[in-house]
Amino acid sequence: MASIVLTLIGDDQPGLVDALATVINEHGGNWEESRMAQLAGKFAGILLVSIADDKAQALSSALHALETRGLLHITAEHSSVEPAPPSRDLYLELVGQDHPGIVRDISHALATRNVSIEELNSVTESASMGGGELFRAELLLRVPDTVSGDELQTLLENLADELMVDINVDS
Amino acid sequence: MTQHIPLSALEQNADFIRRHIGPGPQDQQAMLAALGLSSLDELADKVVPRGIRLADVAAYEQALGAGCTEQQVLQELRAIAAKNQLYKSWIGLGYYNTFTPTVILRNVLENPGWYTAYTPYQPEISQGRLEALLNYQTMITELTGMELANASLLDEATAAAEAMTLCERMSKAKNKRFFVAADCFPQTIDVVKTRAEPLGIEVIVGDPFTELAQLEVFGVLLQYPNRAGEIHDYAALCEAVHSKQGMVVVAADLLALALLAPPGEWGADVAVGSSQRFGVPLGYGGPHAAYFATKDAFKRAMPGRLVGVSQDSQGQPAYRLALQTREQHIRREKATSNICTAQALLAIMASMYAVYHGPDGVKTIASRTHRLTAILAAGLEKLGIQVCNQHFFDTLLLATGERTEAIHQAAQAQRINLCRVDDAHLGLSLDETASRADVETLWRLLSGQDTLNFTVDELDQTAVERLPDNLRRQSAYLTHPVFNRYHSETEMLRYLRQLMDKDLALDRAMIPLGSCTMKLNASTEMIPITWPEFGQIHPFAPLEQAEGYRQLTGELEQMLCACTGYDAVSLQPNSGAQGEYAGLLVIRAYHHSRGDTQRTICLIPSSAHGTNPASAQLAGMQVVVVACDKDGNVDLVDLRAKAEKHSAQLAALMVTYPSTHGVFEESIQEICAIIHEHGGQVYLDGANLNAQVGLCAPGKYGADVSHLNLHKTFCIPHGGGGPGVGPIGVRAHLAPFLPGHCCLPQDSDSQRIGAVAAAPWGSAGILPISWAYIRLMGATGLSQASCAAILNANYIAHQLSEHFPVLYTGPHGMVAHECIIDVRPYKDSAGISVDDIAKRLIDYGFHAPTMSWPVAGTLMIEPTESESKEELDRFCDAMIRIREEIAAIEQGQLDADDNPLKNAPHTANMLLADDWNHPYPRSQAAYPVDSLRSIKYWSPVGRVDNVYGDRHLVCTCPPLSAYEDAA
Repeated sequence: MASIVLTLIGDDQPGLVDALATVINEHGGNWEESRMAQLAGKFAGILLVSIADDKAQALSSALHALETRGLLHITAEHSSVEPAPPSRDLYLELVGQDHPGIVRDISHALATRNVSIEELNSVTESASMGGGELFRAELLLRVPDTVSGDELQTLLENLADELMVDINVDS
Repeated sequence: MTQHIPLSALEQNADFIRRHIGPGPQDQQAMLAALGLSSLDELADKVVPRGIRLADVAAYEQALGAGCTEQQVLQELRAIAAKNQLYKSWIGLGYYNTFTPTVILRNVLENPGWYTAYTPYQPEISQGRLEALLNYQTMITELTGMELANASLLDEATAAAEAMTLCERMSKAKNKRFFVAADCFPQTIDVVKTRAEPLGIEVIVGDPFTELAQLEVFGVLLQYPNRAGEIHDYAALCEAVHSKQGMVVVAADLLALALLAPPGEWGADVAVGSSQRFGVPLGYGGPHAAYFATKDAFKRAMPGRLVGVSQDSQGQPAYRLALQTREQHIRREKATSNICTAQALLAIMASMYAVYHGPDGVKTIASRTHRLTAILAAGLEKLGIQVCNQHFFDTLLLATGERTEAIHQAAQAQRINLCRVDDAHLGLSLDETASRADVETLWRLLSGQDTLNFTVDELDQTAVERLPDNLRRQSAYLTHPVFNRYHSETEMLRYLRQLMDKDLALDRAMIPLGSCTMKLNASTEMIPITWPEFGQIHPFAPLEQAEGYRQLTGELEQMLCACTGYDAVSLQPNSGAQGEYAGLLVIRAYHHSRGDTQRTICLIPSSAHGTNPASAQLAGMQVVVVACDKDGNVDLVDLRAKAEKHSAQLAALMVTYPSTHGVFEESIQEICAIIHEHGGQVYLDGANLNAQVGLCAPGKYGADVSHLNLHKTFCIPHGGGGPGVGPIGVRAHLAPFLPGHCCLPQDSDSQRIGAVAAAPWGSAGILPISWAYIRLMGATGLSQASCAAILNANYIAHQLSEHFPVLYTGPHGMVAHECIIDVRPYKDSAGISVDDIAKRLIDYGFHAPTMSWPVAGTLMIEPTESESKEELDRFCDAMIRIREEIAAIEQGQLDADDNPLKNAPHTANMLLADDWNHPYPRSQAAYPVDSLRSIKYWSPVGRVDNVYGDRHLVCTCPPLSAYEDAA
């Protein structure tokens, strides 16, 4: 069995998921897990498919056909899940002033500690009273046991004076 | 023949009502007509739900009586003031006599340019007070030797309690114990204990030198010099605490620090204290500014506001509130501080005291105070009176033995207050007002001898400093030029004027801030607060010397009961958020008294003010959020479900009325009933009382407790971000639990909660303002004011509704006393944000309405009753003209990026630049409406960059070279 991870993006329109699911089904693939969302008129997602080794190539070609029909831009990669070091989930909330590069800075800082971002939900909104744009994010993190919550908090707060970070274990 | 006008009409007894309410009768008629109404009564009937209207109007009118004239109210207050007796108080305990430099008294405390300003959230129009507050932070940072100081907190005791919670958060020690030195001020210990209990913190009071070694604690509170005046070397103690991961908080006397090594130099993690003795009147306990200073590493956890330096759109230095994400952060249930107010006006006074005196002056005052104390001590020792202190700054502990009572009696006879420590000891604290004559009087009084065989001058030759050698201050302070250049009165006067002129306060224009109620602070209401009989009474003076205050506070409590329908009031909480917190503690104490200790759930609608969940958290409650419907009203289905689900644990509901969205919800009685059915209590946030007085009363339609922001509805000025005053009103069943105070006599079976503020009556010194307002307006005037506030808001909503979407209205399409306009659509259509509109309003001469609260991307407008129709029209014209400018951008007539909104505010500097290269004319930038050609407010700086400031954090006065570099 092969595990293939697909990432996809395209203009949002009705029937996209249906088209995708149909192709996968027709080629004997199994839709294992996915995260998909619509944002700013685009539809994007990440999807894990398991499929018999000998059918993988045919599926890739069929998916490519979806792309040529102008529906979705799809890339496929073989999943190579290695045994992960001992880790736990941390839930992190963050508020700071919005500025270009804030997500990059945060994700970069986390990557230096081998922390993986399982989920990231963020919004920007006008700050009450004082004005300006606030960046708010909630992250679900997979954190190696060797990295403490305090360390993570310090690491992120060092990015900017005004960045406020809260960490909860497993919520 | 002319019509005969009766004398009663010529007497102008109701004249003040007309002066307080902006629109006159004719204008009111015109505004009503615009709304399709004929009378204020009809308006009230449409807006205020019938079911909650005041049933017993006669009782309300009888309780509050008719109003009076301004001359009459001053006369009455004179008579009350005369009942306060001006003894010379050497009581100390954190409150000292001080000379307010008269140039500061007249030009700051008594000047509406300073006292009617709002919190400096809009930095462009607040540069003057931001500079003054930055001076304050610089002064505190240098005097305490810490790295960072905030722009003030409510009082020393609250600051100490805040420091405790900061230590709990920041300390790596994993325990819940906080050690308080027994020689801290008693009111500080009281407030710290009150704060600790619901948070599950164990407070251990004892001798740090003997008891601390055996204990594991997360923090320690020390007093420097201590309550008895002794000056201990705490350096080794700090090290020991740190070695066990604990933190050290030092409550330090600001004047003493002019001579003593500051806490920052010997290991303190936090320094707190009062800046009252820097020129702020005693005022029977407040308002005064407390300071809070800490290390840079703890800046995120620091409570209160912080002023910082940034730059404006032209790259010039400009001030603004720094690290505001801290404040956003506390607006939620995980908060560890609910502080939303500072004591800006009082902090500004204290900072100006330092500007006025400079480092040499402050040092001289401290040295004189210490010298007189040393001379006093030397004389007392000669007279055979034992001075218990080894070292002291200005406070002595005297072993007076069995003569204690006799001395105390003799002191009273000479109109002198000493601090009675116990049956065998007296304490006294000198201050900058002490003179050689006072010292001689004290010698005679304490020795009982009339003739002295030595003189002050003789002892001056021999009296040595009584400061510990190793704790003499070596480091410099107040080094910045601002503390060294305004030492002639002319220079000082002009500096104050220069700062004030940069700011936009109520003395220039309407400040239409929703929920903040920026109404008139009438001069007559303000005048009594600086009378010595109100201003110079020590909070711990014997009660019989403060008969005037007794009468004033007693009558004010009755007046507030009449206005709200409650049965009892506590005046102690000194901000709205502290009121919330105190109200919840009262509810908690009530449940506990009935054995319901499990009632800890607090329901809070999602639309609530952010301090609500923060206060609930501090009161040891768990917050459960109740949904609101699309109209912003409490979702009754969800409320019922949550109340049922948590029935056994339900402690309280916190609800704001009229809602934070500015609507009289029809279902408020039902909401209250649901909570009561499940054994909970209703906490009704009184922030919006301005729409209710005389029309409906929270205590009558179902609420159990409310805080009453006297700085909103009852005319205490906002002072540029404090003083706030937040008394609470309760129904009878909660009255036994109202806050007590360690310095007040209390029955042993008292059920009162502990002190929530340092002084028994909170900010007593400014209560004459609210008393005067209510007395002047009388029952009728107050209801008229409520109606006029509702009329003004509905008029604005009506005038703007053709141009902007007005969100949230009641069933008749009416708003309460404020309205929310939605500006989110312009983000997409023209790239224009709330900020752009707010800053463009500055060009039109207005302070922006409340931004993005309670809904992001909106403006909430509250005109109050005090603004005239002319001013409302001027504001509406500005808003409509701005809408036209947005339309011009939408239609491509104005550039999408380079337009008057994006570039606002326009400074004179920008407009007078030789190369004006924007695609719109200068006249459109500066004079978008013609009236601005004759009256124009010029913003002193361009738009201030928040992000830059927080990325380059500077929270003390930058050296002058910084300005030269930028220029």
